[in-house]
Amino acid sequence: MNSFKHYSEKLLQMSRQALSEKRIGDARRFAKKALILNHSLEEAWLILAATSTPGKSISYLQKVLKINPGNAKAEKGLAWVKAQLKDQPGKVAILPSIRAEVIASLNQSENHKTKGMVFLRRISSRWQSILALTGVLLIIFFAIAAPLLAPAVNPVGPHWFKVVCERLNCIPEPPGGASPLGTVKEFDVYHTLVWGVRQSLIFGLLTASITAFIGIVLGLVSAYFGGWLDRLIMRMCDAFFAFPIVAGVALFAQLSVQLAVSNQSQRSILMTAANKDPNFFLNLVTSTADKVPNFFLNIVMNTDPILIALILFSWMGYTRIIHSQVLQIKKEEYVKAARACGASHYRIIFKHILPNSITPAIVMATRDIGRMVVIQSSLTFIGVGSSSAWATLLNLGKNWIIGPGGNLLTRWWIYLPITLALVFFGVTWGIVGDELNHWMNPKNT
Amino acid sequence: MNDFLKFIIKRLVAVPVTLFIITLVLYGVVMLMPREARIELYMPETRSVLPGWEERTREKIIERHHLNDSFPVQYYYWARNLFEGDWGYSPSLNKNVLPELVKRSPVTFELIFYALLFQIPLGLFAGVWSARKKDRPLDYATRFTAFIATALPEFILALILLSVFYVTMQWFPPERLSVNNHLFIQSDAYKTFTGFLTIDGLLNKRIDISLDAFRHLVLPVVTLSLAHWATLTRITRIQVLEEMKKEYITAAYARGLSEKTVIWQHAFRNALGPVLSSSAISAATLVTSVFIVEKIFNLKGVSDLVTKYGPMVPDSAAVLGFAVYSTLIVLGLMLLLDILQAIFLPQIKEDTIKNEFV
Repeated sequence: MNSFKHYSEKLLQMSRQALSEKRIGDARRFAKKALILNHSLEEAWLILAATSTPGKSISYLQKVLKINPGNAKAEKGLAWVKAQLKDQPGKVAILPSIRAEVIASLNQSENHKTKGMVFLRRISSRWQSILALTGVLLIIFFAIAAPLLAPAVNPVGPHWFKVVCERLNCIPEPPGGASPLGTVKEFDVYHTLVWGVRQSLIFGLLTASITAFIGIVLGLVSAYFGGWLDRLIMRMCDAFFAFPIVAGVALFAQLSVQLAVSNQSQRSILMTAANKDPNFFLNLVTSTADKVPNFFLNIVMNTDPILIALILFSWMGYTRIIHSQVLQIKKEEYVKAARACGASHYRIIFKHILPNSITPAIVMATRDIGRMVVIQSSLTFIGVGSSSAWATLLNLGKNWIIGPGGNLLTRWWIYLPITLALVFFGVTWGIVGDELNHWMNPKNT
Repeated sequence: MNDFLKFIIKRLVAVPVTLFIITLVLYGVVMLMPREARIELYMPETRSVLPGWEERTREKIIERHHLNDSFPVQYYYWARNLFEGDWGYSPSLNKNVLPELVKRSPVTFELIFYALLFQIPLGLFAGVWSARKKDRPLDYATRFTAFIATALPEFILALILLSVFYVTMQWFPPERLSVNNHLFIQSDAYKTFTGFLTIDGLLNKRIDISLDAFRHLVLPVVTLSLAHWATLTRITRIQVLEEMKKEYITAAYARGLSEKTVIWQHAFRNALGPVLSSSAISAATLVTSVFIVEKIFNLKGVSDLVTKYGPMVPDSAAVLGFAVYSTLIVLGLMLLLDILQAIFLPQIKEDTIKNEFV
């Protein structure tokens, strides 16, 4: 489908070229071919209208109006043709001067119809696309403008939390005063809400892109080369599907804490210290993270276990989808032709197979940006991992909702802003995925 | 029958292969840990306070389990121990890992069992109904509910449900049982048969315990079902609509069959295959969400091993045991769903074989 679009665009270009060089016959032929591939090309219909008799051009122009009722050129042309036909009913061909006028107007329109304009016009024809675009722009805006919307407290370290209450036992304060969305324990809700967007976006993009990359490479390799490698990778896919992500996160958290502890001699002393301070081991990991000599282990200790586990245990979806796509495309004539021409594996993969098979994976990756963040916050909330600021805040405030005397209505600020943000984030990327699917892969909708 | 046996055997053979790959990866991660952490996997439960005991035991363990050797050798000894049921000693629980896991698993299994029992019929029925009433208010209502259920993360749904139905209404409390019933099941008068409180209550002729257990299960099961129900409904709806376009449906209508018969006997039956295989694939996500629900509703299930103190406490035996055990649960669940599918839908079975083993 994509290649169809590509070729119809190319034919239209050739037709335009021919028209500007006054090769009327060529222009007509190319425009017709373009229309066979894509019936809704306004410009091709216009070119056909400009190069045919007034009697025939009426039907062409009407087709343009059916595709886009607001096309001023078609309306103008139609009025002109009707006037012409009234004057001289027996006229057979359009006068060369008129032809020149239409050509000139076509060329002129080419100048101010930029790619961006075309993109915007196509997007605005579907309300779902407008919604998706607005949502993404909003998320990016919050992510970039976080320091302006909520000025950071400490200049270097992580900015996710702002302490607004210095006492020992802080209770959640309703909105008002210095904190526009209230506080949870000693932290400001609004501050975390705004900075959480940046954190989630970075996390989502990072996980989804790395996962997609690994999955796509494995899927391509296994489907393209086949044989024992294919069987091994697909078997690994099945196996990794059976592995719950909670266990993966726990394992990698365990790995970093074991590495941190390995430098200490007396383990029993550590345990008594940990009983006094619940964050003891977390602090131990961060304090010893840079002292580990091994490069790879150093990365593991400095990275969030949820990130590592999600990357390691969620590439399978991409591999499966790319695998099935590539198996189909491998059988296509053009791949066989390329191989017969002596094209290298590299060329066949990157010029023929990948461009035609990657669309579903891109759609999946887009949806995953939201999904990964939701998984991250779920895991943080139950205490396996600690990387999502939103979920950490929810976890701190949960006892005021589900503890004795808790109330959903009177203490709404504890959970509602963060819930809405999380749902908005997840749903937006879901819709963006759907829209990408619609625009890039019209067959599937 | 021959085909059926072949299918079951193929599925059964796939389980050890999968388990082998996963344990290989798991032990690969453990190999990155310092040797101290691997010694923990073999520490005996009974300990002595004699001076020098710990050092001597550690040396013995290193020698016996070849902890200084290469990866394949170490993996072999670890896997053999795993197979023999020695899953190591957890310092944070102060117990052996495997018995602790087994002790906690009825909670998890009960939750999964009731969630599946609740969500699969509901999802199938809602999906078919929604397809039948396409683009009518009921369809929109179902789709909207499904959309909300997928959009809302489970832990937030659990929080909201707990706050409304436990804190405010006092209807459905968390945990497994009320205090006095909990005391009773720990006494000698109570006998454990299956570990499922809802069933054991009946077997002990104490229907109040069963009812109490059901009451405590309502919120976790609803939370767990909702998200998966939504996925199932959506897939069923799409598949049934797809089938409705086909010619045999027109033919069935032409023969004068009622709409009910056409949908349930023809379209639904043929739509079931993809629906059930997708529910088997979502088993892993189901288990992950079981752990989330367990933690929030304070059900001390399998995940208790890692969520009790958090994974940030040096206890590699418990974490590794949990990883292996939860993989086993997922594999078992997938196998169970596959076999159920093969039993109840014989016409789908061959298709599945083709899909799984191309």
